[in-house]
Amino acid sequence: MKKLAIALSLCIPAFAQAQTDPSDWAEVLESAKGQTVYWNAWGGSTTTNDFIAWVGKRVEEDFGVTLEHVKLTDTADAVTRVISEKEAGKDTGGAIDLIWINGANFASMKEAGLLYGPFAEQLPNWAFVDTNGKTVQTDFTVPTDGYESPWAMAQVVFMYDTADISEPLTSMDAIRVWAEANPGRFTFPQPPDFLGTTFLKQALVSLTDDPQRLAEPVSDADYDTVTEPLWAYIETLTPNLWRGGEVYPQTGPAQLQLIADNEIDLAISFSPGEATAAIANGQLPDTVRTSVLDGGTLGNASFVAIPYNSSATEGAMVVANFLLSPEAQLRAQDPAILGYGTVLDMDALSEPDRAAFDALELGIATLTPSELGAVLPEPHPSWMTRIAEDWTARYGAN
Amino acid sequence: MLTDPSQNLGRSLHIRWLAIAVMVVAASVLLSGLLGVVLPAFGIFPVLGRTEPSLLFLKSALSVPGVWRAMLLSLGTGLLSTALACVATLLLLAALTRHARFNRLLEFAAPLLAVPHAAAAFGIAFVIAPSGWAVRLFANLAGFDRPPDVVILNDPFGLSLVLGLAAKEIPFLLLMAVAALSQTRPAQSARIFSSLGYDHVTGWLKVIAPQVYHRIRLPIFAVLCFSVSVVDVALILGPSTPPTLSVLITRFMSAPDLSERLVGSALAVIQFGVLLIAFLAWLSLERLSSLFLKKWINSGRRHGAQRLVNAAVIFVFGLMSVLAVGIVSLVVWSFAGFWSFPDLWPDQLTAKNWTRFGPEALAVLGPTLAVATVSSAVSYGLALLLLNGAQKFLGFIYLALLLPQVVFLPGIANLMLAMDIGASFWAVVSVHILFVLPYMVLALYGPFNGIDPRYRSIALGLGVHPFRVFLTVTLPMLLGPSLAALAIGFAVSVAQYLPTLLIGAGRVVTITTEAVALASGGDRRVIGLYGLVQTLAAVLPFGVAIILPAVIWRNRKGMQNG
Repeated sequence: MKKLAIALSLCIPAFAQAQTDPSDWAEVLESAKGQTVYWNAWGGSTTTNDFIAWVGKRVEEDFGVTLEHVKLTDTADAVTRVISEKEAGKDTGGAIDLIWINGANFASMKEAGLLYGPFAEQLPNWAFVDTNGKTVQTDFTVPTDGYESPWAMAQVVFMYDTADISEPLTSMDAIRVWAEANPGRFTFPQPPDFLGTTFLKQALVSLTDDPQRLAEPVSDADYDTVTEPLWAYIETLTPNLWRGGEVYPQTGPAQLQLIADNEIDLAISFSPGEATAAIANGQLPDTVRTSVLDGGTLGNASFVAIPYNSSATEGAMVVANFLLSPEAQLRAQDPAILGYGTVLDMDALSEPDRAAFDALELGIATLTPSELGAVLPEPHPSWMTRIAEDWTARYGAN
Repeated sequence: MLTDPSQNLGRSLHIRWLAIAVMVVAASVLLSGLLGVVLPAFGIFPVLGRTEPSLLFLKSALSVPGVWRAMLLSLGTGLLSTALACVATLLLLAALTRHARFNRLLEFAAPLLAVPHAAAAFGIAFVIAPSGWAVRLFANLAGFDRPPDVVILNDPFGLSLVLGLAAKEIPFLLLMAVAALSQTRPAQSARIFSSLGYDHVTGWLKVIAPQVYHRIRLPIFAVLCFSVSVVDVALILGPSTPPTLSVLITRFMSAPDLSERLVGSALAVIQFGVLLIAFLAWLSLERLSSLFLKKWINSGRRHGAQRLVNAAVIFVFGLMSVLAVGIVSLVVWSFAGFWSFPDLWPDQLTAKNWTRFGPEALAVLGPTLAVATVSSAVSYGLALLLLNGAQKFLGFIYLALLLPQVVFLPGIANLMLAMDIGASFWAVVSVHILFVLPYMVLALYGPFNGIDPRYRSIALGLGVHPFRVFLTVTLPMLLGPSLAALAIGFAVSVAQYLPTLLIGAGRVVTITTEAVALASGGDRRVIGLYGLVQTLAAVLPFGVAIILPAVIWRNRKGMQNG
């Protein structure tokens, strides 16, 4: 008994030192000072990189936290690192402090016990978050349980070149009919690419009779029936795709280059502000506009999560909290900078902050919140994996 | 061989033990990486609670859609591009060695060699794509403003991939071949075959080419290995429905569902088998062609190779022009504003891209050069040590080139974590050495063993200490190959992406980790800009490698490759 007590007394302070209670914010700020936070995030978007650099400058000024952006080609590289560290028993002092994450990667990491938390709902700026109107507490139907903190809203839009398409295409069927008349002018990133699979999910959600079913995990019993309309649709669409469906762009941004090269006229995007920012950067012709589908389009939130063995847990929470501040959210929503949707509730903000959001110019190719229309919830992550695999078996391996 | 068959210091016990110690360390690191592949492939993956061996994942790997075709693609594109590069290099040399100052050629080869593979592939893609520069030229003449919807890039048979790989491998093999050439004493041979009435190219191909081939066999194997398992070039130029096996592996290794990694590891074990088949196929090809060539050599025909050589020269110059124009296009892109089809030139030229990304790119140049300098210098020392003391066991260190990095590096990262070696400059350097060292040994092996042993015998006979003989006779004779090896090692280090990322964990950032991350966004402006800075980082040592021997040996006719 005595031995156990000593062992416990030795353990508890060590534990408390490693992980400050997130609800004791003054203590978090104190511990965070001087920490360096390594934020692992996709580095393929130059506008996002610039935004992260700005966040780094601000948290340094206000909280003495140094932020380093570790630029990844794939979030999986960060997941691999945390797995490796867990395998090696490196349960403290890990190399990654913050990950830009969502969907299936989050589900996997949460299930494997690789994340720190819960912390998100204890962050002071959580008070501003719109928990009723926005899907910030579930991620692809998986409850976040405070293991990740939201920082941006995304919604599917279609970018189209008005030089070639006069009227927006507002339904999956309209896209199919247009593609029939204009073969070779549309494509999507090759599944299992995130955005390409999103196109398949969007088609599934739009075409199925029972979208409610998609909130539940996939099951063999009715998989064929549920996805039948999707595959019938893809079957007629594929021969009219760019290169007859023999070649696909490998990433979302590769589509921008294809539009600029006048190879295609229509492409999917998960960011309503992407087209405006790309026009400003000379990546897209200024004739590009965006549109949504009549029945609504898929939307979700981007999150940040903290690995269970982060060496700067407090600093990471400070960054996550700063990302939720009206200042950071305002900058992220500015179409000249990022054009990401805010996760905040306008009614919870102070008068001047709300006015600042209202005063934002939308940008040349960005739709207003009301034009963006209904946001459809993401299906359970098991659907994403299954239809991506199925697509690859049908079209990705001739 | 007339006397002592080797040039080495191996009879000194210290050297031998030291060499063996280095070998043991390298081999155990590599084996731990190997375990990191083999165990998950057989179902052992403790982090997911899997501790029982099983064949399940190998089975499911073999039923992945398109996996058989992916294997064939890897095998076919790897063999074809290597064969193409190898034959083209020898034929080109046959044509060019006639000219006294053919070494100037290397001044063009070196920058092409230093361009990172991915950037070169993007450049080539922009020249030959249906919306690329070549078609734009035609579109302006013929007056159409939509690119034709035809498959050129990413063709299902991987032909554009074969050409892209060959374009990058020819400069490498050329550099290797020229370094080896001086040891075949080509001038003497040429005098003899000329006096027997052979024309230059026929005599060269019959007498000198087999000797050169023999000396660059290891680099050719490395090229074969690389081409079978390359990822970035295959992603840009290769087919995608299905892709090559290596790209397929990368897809599985980056799947969000962690158990997919077990299938990825199983595919990596299969990839190992594909590599073995590629080697066997290459050895059979060697046999076959040697039968055929012997007949031709013994036929006594003095002429007849000229036409083939001419065709090869045209092919290589065509290919190199595409590569060079591709690189020029990257320069233009790095200054481009909006630039659409069918415009031959951007709407506006701007310095915006450079002011926006240039400072960042230049800032990471420092650490990049530091890592490359240290890892290539240490590797050079280690390579000489191994060549002197442990030639029998050299096979081990090539393991690093044989396995796909994406499956094999996590194993090494695990080992370093288990030994509590943090992500630091030195950790990154030591892993770079694993990949730089094999290339160094490749570059030095032929030249080292090809030195006429009589020089050494004479020196020893004069009573000079073996170590001094090595320093004053052997090493100076290796100056050219040494500099080439250092330059290649430097370029290899600069180009490492996954080792830097996984071992450095973002603590050590190089121009390549930045460039590859940015390239995933597909913006040609950024790709062009970073590609240029990467090229600059790697090209410097090549310049030194070419100029220095010419300066040092300006009064030594026999050392001037002739």
